Amino acid sequence: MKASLNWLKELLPELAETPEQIEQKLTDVGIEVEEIEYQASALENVVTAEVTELEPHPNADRLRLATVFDGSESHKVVCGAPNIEKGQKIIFAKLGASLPIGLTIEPRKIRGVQSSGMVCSEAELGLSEESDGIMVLEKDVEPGIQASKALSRDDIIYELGVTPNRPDVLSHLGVARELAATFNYKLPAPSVELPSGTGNASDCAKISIQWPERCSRYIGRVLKGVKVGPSPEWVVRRLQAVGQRSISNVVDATNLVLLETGHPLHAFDLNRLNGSEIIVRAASAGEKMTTLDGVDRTLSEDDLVIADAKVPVALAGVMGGADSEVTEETVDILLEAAMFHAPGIRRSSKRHGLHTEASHRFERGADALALEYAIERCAQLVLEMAGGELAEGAIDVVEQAFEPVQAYIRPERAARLLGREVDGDEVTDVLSRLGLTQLQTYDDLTNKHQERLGTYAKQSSAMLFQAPSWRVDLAREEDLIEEVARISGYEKIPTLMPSLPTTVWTHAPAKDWSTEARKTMVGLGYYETISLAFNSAKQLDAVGVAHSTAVRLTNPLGEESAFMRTSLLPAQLRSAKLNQSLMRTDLRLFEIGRTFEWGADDSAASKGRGRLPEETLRLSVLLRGQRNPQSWSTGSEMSDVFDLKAHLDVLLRSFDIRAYDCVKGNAKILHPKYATDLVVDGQLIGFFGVIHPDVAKAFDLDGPEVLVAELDLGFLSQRKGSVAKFQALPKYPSVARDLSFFVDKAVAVTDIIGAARKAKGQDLLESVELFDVYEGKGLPEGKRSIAIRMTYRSADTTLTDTDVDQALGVLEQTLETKVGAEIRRGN
Amino acid sequence: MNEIKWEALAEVRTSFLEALDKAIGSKDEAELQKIRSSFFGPKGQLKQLLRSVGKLPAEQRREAGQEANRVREALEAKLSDALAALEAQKRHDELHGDRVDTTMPGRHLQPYGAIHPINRIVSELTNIFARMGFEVAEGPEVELDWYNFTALNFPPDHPARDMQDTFFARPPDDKGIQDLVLRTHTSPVQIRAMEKTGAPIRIISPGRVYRCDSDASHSPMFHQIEGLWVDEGVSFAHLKGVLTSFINVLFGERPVRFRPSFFPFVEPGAEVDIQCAVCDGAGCRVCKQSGWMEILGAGMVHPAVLEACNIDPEKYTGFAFGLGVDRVAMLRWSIDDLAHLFRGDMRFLEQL
Repeated sequence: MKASLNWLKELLPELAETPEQIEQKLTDVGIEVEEIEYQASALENVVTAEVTELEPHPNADRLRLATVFDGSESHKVVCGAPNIEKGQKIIFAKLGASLPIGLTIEPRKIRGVQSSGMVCSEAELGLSEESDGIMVLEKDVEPGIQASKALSRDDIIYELGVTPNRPDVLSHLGVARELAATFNYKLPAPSVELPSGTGNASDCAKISIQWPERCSRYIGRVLKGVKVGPSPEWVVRRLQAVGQRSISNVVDATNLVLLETGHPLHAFDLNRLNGSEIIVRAASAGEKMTTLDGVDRTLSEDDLVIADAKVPVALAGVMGGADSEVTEETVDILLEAAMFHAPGIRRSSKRHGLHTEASHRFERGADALALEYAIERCAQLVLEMAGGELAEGAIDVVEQAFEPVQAYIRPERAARLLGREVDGDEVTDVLSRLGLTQLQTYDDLTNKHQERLGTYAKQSSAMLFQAPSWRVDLAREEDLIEEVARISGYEKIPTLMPSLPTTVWTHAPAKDWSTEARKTMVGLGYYETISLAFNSAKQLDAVGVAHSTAVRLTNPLGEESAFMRTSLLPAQLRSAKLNQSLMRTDLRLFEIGRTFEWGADDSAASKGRGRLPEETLRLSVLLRGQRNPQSWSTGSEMSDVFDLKAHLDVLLRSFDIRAYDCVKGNAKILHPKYATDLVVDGQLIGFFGVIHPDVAKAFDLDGPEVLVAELDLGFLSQRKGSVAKFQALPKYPSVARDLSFFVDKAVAVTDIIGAARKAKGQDLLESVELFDVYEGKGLPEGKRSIAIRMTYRSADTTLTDTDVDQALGVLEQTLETKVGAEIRRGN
Repeated sequence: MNEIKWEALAEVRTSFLEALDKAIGSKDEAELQKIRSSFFGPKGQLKQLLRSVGKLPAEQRREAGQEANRVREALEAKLSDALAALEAQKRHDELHGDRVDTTMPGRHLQPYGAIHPINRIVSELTNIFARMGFEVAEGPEVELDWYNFTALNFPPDHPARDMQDTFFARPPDDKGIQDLVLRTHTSPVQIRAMEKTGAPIRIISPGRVYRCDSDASHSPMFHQIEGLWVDEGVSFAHLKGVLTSFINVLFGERPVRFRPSFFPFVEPGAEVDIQCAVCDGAGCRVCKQSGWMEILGAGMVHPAVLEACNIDPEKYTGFAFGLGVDRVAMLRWSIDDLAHLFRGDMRFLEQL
């Protein structure tokens, strides 16, 4: 909210601190000053001046050449305004001035004539939205006065960040109150004196409340014979200073009161109220009304409306209706000041997407005792600005009387919570400055509060207070402690390190596996990405996830982010596409993040307070392009699936996984020829392969093939593997034997090695390794050539050729029978 | 050298010196080695001459023998010197030959790789707090309204909920009215952790959070770190101590300001500013001329929150704080647009 310093000073004349001291203090007590606007600074180098000469422009009919005297010197300027005349007092922007509309005045030639400055219009000075010509001042204005002074544009405007718990400072009176409390001034009590009226208000209109839970009080006041028209200059300026537009004197009066007291008011055209009646009631479902903004609205049974005898005339606490709006034809008005139920106002405001100055304040909580002053002040302003006659008295319907909130505070508890000394005197001083009333004894508490506050309120150290009506945020001890802390200043609290508790440790802190995995991937040359966790329907289709198992957002930013991601890969492919368009196809990317999917109803995630989707921590990998970075010494071989597998191998080893199975996979995102599932301890932990050509097409990827993997990092992190046991180092040398053979292409290497290991008589076989594979020319149809190296070793003796040859012979036979190997001998 | 009386010896010496000069001139080590064998070897000229000493008249023998040995030693020394000099020269030439151009790039087998800036900050922060005894706790990103709002003292229909633009989600079958939200802060982890372990508790919870907002300084997804310390006797002074320490570690020692603010789940609440890291308090565009930068939200855990977790607020007090990781990353690396962090653009990833 914007607060004018001039206005604050009117309410609190004692306020003598500098604007900067005030800014500092407001921030120190929790009313953050987000910006401070010095009106005068926008009018620097702008002064009053006199037009001393006026000649025609030599090269343009519609322009004139004016000489203006600014009190010390004369300037020649070209002026296009039709209303300029010799002898006028005007506002002159000198060279170097920087006008509020963003125009900087520099010397320039206009149609061949030098112009050194500018005669300003109201619009150029930011005083109105448009103007027909230059601004002409009264004749007796002296030239050379700063424009900010001449135009009373010397206010200082604070842009305050008011937190939602403090609706009481959403007004000038509220800010003044807070300043008075913090600087320890006494705020003069606002008061109004109204002339005695003619006729009785209650004879002019009838008011009833049919929904007391949502409206506890409604006051109406009637003014007759008002003349609706423009507001006086000071009102226009005042509203403008705090960012509001003047509408008409009557409407401006309600807005001024809102800005002054914080209480939203409304003015109805009394003669447009059917039956001259106000009924505060629930809307009926489907009931229609047009609000002041011209929007037709369909109401719900949960909307509180102000109705006349026939139709709704206002959406209570949110916005008035167009049909009862005060217009230039209005003669008699009914002013409204009411107390509405905060959550109800918020629901209506949300339901209709209508956030107004009124709803903003009502939903945060209005001051229940401010109504009378607010409506009287408004009546006074209307009488001043629009004339008319006040009807005697107010129509005041009270459904629920206001009950002040009472609470206790124990100084020693405050001291414990804040970590500094707090005594009763400080508490009394601060809280009374803030308008709280101290209660003397426990019996001063109302029954309701005795019950609410419990036994602590009875403790001898408990100090009892009653909150003022405007402080809707004060309810319990901590609230009062905060008041003491913030008004005395947080800087009074010492800065202390707590001593660490001395409880016995029972378990190791959880290991941060994600960081481990990150380090491993970086060691392999990968860059980590973080992507937004949303997917489009199309992306779900690409990875083959049913829309029904994905988590759909009710209010997504757009269709491309309508779902929570089920895989990290669509984002990685998107980033591959981005980099491809930047001519970067050599990529190593990984991401660690959660994916979201609805599991079965009885899944673990649905236990507790409600059903949640399953969240899985995953690690995705994308590899593309050259195996080694382009350099002077390496070739340009492309990465293939075995590069990716090697990387995954290293990654899995970092999780202490030494053995895993690669089985034919069916991930929809992968090319079927490559799709491979990774299985650890019989559990599927992820997949890898080359992306499916359709997926590549869907993501607009062409060029080097894209290799991807996605692993369940959550499973890997939680897996409890067995710790490897150290084997004694060998004492005797090993003997190696190579074997090469043809075998059907369909036979997997893992099966060959498995068969070799499982062959009989291989007790001394230490390792079997694949060392060559050949496919292509010169081989029998459908075969490939494979070479493996067996290493034999005994723990007790040096092996002889005979020992080894015998074992190898059995192994050869086994390979022939089990996998159909045709052993190639003699070469 | 004394005059050599033995003529044959003088001749050998002369021919040795000639051969030596020639070999040195040609810088040929092999030639020098050849001289060694042709003069001093078993069949060398000098050896033969020495053998012929016996044939000399007896009275000359002794003197000739001595003389021959003297000459041999002198010549051998000359040869050794020549060899050493040649060796030294070779070594010198080797050491001072053409430099290897080590300005050429190293032979990289793979790119450098890098951990994402956000996660580098997260690790750093988690490590700082780990040293103060905070354990990492986690919770779901798709969260129940209860944990994200209600238990944190944001009552339904309360305008404090407007402080956070919330994404809502719903189960696939739409069965029942379930208030599911994408967590708007990491604070629900507090509730889950306190529900699970009660007090005392000291946790830090880094994680992703979501708000439906998107521009240069807002992303619909960003990162927070939340801290919570509940125990007997924990005070606001301790909150100041822990956060000041943390800020000093992260940003270097600089002025810190705690000012009152409001978050429904703390009371008293605070926002924590550090002296602007860009202008050191002089006032700049980044700090909107204020000289301060808001870095953390914090406060003493609201008793209603403790009560919602069945913790007795009379016995236990605690503090909580939260900070935006992305903002810290943007500050550290002078990143001007939040969106860079989440695009996977190699030109960005390689820079930091």
